[in-house]
Amino acid sequence: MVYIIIMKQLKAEQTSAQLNAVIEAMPEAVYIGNMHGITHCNTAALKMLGANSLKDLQERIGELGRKYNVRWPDSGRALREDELQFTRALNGETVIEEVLATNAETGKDVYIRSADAPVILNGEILGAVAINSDITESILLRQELEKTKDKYEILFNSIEEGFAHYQAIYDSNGILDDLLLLDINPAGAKLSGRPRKEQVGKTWKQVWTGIEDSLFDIYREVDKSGKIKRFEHFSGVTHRWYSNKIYKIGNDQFAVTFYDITERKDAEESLKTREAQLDAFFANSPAILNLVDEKFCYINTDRVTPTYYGLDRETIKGKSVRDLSKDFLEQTGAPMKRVLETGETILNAEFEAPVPGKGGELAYWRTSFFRVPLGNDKWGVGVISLEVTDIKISEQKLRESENRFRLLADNISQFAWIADKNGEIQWYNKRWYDYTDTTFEDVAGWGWKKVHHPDHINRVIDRFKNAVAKKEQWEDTFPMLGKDGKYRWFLSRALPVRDEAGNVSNWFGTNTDITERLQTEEALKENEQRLRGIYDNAAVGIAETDREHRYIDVNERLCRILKYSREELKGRNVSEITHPDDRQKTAMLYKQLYNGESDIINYEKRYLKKDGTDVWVHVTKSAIYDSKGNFIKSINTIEDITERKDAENAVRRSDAILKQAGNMANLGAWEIELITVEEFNKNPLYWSEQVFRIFGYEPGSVYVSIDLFFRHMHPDDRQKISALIDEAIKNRSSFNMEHRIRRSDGDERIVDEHVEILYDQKGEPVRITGAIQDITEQKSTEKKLYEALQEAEEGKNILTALMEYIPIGITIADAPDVNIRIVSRYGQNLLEKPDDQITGIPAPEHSSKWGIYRSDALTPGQPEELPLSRATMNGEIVKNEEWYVTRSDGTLIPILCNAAPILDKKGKINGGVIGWQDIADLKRIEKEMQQRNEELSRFIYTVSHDLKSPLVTIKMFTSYLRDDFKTSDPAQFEKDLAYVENAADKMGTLLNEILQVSRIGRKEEPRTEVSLEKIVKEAVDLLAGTISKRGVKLIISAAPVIIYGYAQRFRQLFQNLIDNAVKFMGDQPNPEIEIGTYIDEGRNDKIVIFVRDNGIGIDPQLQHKLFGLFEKLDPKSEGTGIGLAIVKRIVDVHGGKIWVSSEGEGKGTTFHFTLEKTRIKI
Amino acid sequence: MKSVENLHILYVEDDPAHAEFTVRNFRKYRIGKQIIHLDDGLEALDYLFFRGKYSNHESAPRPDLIVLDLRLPKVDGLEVLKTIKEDELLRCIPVVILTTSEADTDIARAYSYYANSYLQKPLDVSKFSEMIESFGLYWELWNKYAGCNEAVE
Repeated sequence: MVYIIIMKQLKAEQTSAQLNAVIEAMPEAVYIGNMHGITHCNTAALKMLGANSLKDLQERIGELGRKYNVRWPDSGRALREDELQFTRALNGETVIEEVLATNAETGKDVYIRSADAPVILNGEILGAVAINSDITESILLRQELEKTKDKYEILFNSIEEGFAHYQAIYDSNGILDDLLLLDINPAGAKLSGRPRKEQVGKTWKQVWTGIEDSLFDIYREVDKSGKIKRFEHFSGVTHRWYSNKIYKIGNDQFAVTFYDITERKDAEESLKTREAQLDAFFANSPAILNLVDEKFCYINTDRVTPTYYGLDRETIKGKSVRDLSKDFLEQTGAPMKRVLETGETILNAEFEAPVPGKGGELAYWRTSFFRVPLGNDKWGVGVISLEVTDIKISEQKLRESENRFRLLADNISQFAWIADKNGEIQWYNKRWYDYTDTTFEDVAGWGWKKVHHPDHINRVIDRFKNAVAKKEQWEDTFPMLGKDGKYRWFLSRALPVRDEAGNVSNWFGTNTDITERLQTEEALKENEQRLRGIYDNAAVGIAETDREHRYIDVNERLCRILKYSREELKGRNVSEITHPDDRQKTAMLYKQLYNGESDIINYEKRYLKKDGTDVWVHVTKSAIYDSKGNFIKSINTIEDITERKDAENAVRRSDAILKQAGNMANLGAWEIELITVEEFNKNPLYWSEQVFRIFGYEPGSVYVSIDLFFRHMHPDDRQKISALIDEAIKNRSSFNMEHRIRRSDGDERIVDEHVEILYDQKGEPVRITGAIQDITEQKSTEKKLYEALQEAEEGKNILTALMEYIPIGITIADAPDVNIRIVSRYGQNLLEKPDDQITGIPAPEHSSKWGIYRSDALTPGQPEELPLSRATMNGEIVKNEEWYVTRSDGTLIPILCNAAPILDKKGKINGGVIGWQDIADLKRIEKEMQQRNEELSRFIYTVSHDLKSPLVTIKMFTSYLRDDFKTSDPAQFEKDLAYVENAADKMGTLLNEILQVSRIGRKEEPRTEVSLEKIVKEAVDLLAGTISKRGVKLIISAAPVIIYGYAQRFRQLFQNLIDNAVKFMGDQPNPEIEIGTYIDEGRNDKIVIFVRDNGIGIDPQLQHKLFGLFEKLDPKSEGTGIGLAIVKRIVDVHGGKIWVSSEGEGKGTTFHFTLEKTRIKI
Repeated sequence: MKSVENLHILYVEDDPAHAEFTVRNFRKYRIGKQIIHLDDGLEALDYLFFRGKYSNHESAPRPDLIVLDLRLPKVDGLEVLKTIKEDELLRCIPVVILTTSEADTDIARAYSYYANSYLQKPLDVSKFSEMIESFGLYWELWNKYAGCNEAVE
């Protein structure tokens, strides 16, 4: 179009100016030119290429192509000159192509659509015209569009989220009926579980047969509202959960994005499970376990907490602790708040608070608080609480007892410490710390080393370790550093403390300050040295002389006095250098000394010096004796009388030292200056300040006298004290006394006094000094301790005595394992078992070690059913149960048991006790009683029948006799009378025999040992008539046996048996009776006695009736049937058994029996 | 039905004196045609079960009535009663206990073993006679109402 217009214009107006005006008006860039360059162009053309003026373009076309970097847009290759559209137009071609050029001014690339055509006039190409459009923007736009399209493709294909595009299909009523899948991305296909190609272009109903209509409802809703809809659903096809988001596009299309949320659903599921678990955890917590929110409202609790408020776990939720329990909140409110605010965890805080809902009953709680996230930046508090009242109380008790101990320990004057069994010190008393100025952390274990002197520490440790290893008492003396930086000396002792089992559990040690004592010793040593110094450097001459008065040693001073050398004097006799006038006196006095007439002699004499001059000296001689009183040597001091003053000074110095020592003793001190021994009370008494205080006075506030002292003395002690003082003066001894005083305020105290009496050179008492100390506290502590020990000892003694002497079995066991602790002596003796089978046995072994059986004496007792176990483990009180225990020899003893738990003050089971009694005798008596009763009722039954029988007969026939009398039939009369007589006789016999039976077993004579043979002979003698009448041959084959019991009854026994045998001999032509013995192995080798006959024998079926009272097998036989009943009774009374054997009728009978304590005669 | 005077009675009693006066009274009131007296329980059972010396059936004709003392040698009266009542053929023979025992246990046990009657030997002769006399009446009544006799015949 443009081109044609230009042509027309060119044709119409040929002038250059006009052309310029025309092309200027065109919006596109217009270039007109020839091979040599552009001749006309508009401003748009200049602007497009960044040219300043036409001049820039008036170059060869090929040059212009290079200048503006014209190139192909796709390859970027520069266009050759012949490829340039303008060149080609000059060659007659019409071209529309796109190129890329660079704007010279901006340097930016410009896309150009170039339309070029030749300008032909009259068939001749005059030039070419190019109309170029800047298409940079549209190109870029297109490129951008293509890029977006790629992005969409990439997105569509690669996102993990499913994306589907649907076309709605409506039914005839215009209601959405199905969805046609236009496209689905690969992720969507994958999520849906079907390949893409199986779905695209098909409807839901075609692809997913049986799809729920409810799904369509969701689309219908979106279709109607046009709003985005999000929903979750579970696919029955893939068995997974999806989250879906539906957008409506246009009028009838939907885009759906969806993704798999199965894992999230699973996580939700497991969250629910975890919540349920947490809830179960809460519900079943044995401790108080609460979770509250920031307003202290319950979120979850254990089962117990709600019951405090009469609620249950559900109803308490949401209720605030503030409303439920003010008391409890008082204690827990602050920590809960703190935990909430700071996030710190409070562990095991203890407090006292009433049990909620229990009316103020106080309990100790040990509670932990911790912060719990509740989600959404909210926090709650978890509270775990345990009631620890029991623990608290025992802790408190422990503390109290510890405190008591500490009080005592801290107040004793010594240091005290306790080490564990390995010697590691775990405790020191207060004084220890006071002295050393340390803390426990400094000196725990072996830390005490640091207060010891480096020169001693290794020895101390070695010896202490050695003592610990050997478990022996330890003692050592060593210096310890005090807080004043000075060492003091201590004597330390430690004793092992043993537990009940005798093992060392601790060491208890004390340190006693012995510095003073040592100082005294030190001073003594010093004195010795000083003495030596004095000896050598003394102002007096000193000499030791032997028996013969020869010099053994002399000091320097003496040498100087006498002008002899030491060597010259040693061995020389004193009289040689004594002035001749004094020689006799010297010898005489020395003799007194050496004979023991006096032990010290003072005199003055003259010596002869070496130079022959004499010197006056004062000599003091004292003798030294050995333990037997023999004179060893004499010590002599020889004083140049002019030098005496110096010696006196030395004495004064020594006094001062003594006084200082007194001050250091730190006791109340007093002194009586003994002016008159006769009137003791008149002597002046001096008190130190401490003494005033002991007596309840301000120091110096009262005039002190011996009378005052005695007034304060307890009246009962006065006599004793006076006597002690008198005796001390007499014996020149010091003494200790403990006595009571009454203080000025009337308080009675106990004091300890140490009294010393000082004598002058003549041996006269000059002073009484004493130290006094108030020891009341110490005493009362001792006394209380003693009383407590006494009481415990008493209780223990009672128990011991009880266990030793009580005549029943008592077993005490410890809870909870029912370990047998102690068994009464009676019980031990009854069981006859070694100790290790009786005590120290836990429950599971009771039954086997003690051999315990149930009352059937067969079933072993199960550990948990034994009375002691039930008492100890369950707190059951067991009354009068029967069990069996086994002695060491295997015999079972029936015992009657009563058991009960041993409870402590709080009702907790500490142990159990069982009392048990041997009831073997009781059972035997019971059994005997039962037998006796049965026997008695049988007896009464039999007697009533058998006694009545003859009575009936008598009654009957006496009436017949009356008839006989009337009818006067003498024969019948005789006959009937005989019946009456017989019956009466029988009755008489019966009564006699009943009497006999009843007598057996009664104590009539003492039981004795008798010879069987003798008894048999006596019985045979009594029956001699009967035996000989029947012509029975008697064989006695009994072994020499001794039987024990009632001889009279034994005779009766044999009499009845032999009589019985004769009676039932039948028509035996050679009747024989044998009496003998044998040993029955089947009955523990018991000796069995038998009586055998060869008479009629007994039907085995009837043998059981044989021994019954009034039992007769043959009604025609003589007797009442009582004979064998008597025999049986006698055997029973003698603890035996009787039985019979017979092979049957006509085959003879043998009676066998045993008797208790039968033995072979030795 | 046999009349009282034609009865065949088996009488077991160990006391000869008691046997004497009982038999005398049976005679006096014309009770029984034949009275067999045995003096212990074992022999009574031998008789009834054709054992021992009674193994020949003719030697032991069936009784119409058995009169039994309780305390018997060898085999006790109650034991005899029990054995009779346990036997199918013998159990229809009426058994009358005639004894001195007044013990309740004896009476109770006798009835529990199906004794047909329990009579105590009174200490009075006239009473005893009365008892035996009324026994005749008792027998007739018993036979009228109990229908067991045919089996024995």
